[in-house]
Amino acid sequence: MEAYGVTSELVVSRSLDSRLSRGAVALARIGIAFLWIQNVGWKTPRDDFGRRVGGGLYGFTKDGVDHPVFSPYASFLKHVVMPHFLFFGWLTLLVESAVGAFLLVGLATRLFALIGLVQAAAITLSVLNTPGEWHWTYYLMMIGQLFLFATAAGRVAGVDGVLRGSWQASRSPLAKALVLAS
Amino acid sequence: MACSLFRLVRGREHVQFVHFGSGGVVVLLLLGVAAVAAAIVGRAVIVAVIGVLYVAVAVVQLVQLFGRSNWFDGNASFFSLTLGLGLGLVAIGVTELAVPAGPPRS
Repeated sequence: MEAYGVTSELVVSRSLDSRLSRGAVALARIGIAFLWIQNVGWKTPRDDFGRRVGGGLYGFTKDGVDHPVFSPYASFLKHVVMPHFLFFGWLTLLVESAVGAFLLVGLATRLFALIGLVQAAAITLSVLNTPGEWHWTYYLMMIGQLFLFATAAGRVAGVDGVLRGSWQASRSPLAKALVLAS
Repeated sequence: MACSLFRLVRGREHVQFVHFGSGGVVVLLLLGVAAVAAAIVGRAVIVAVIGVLYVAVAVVQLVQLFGRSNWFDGNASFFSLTLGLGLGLVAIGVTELAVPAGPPRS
């Protein structure tokens, strides 16, 4: 009986631990999604993403040239991004909006965690050496994306978790792609 | 529906993660109620249609980012929010239609 009691306590403890862990993973995913969603809010094409006033996204990109973190990337910003800034402004707005959107609902979460990681790395390489910036911000951004990828965070309280079984059962190429992306 | 609460913290940048006005609140509440109702009655087609409506709202917001009008008084954060909600519902509705769930096991 005692052995049975110990086993029962262990099961309850593990179940609680599992629920807490799953809740924490879901909270982290939704929290990081809202950070991306808030971060895309100030990017606006009305002033060509800050080019007309020398601020906004244009200003942060220029920081990557004025305070280089990695010289090949600074050269890429100067010779490729800055001359075609409107295109890259739109690209940034759409990529960051998509990362926030997909992470929020937990759809294709691992794919968008990786896209978010690449975007966070690009931001880091632009502004890490800018005076007044707190380097932890950028390291935490990348670590957060890695966490979401490693835990396949959309499978907890996300669309991936609801639909993955159906995608695995389907022969459709899109469903197979979504299994990989989730 | 829960996201419409962001309207209440307008002006407090540290907690206002999505920016929108009264028009945005109306859209989020109406489509939110409709999505919950569609889920309760279990109609995948309606879920997908509501998802498409959310995506349409997102597209309108995206276009209005560089126009004169701003029906939802929002910015790109409202675009991102409605895009996510819409694509999530479309994915659920379309998958349910393409791969219907089997009969419940007794």
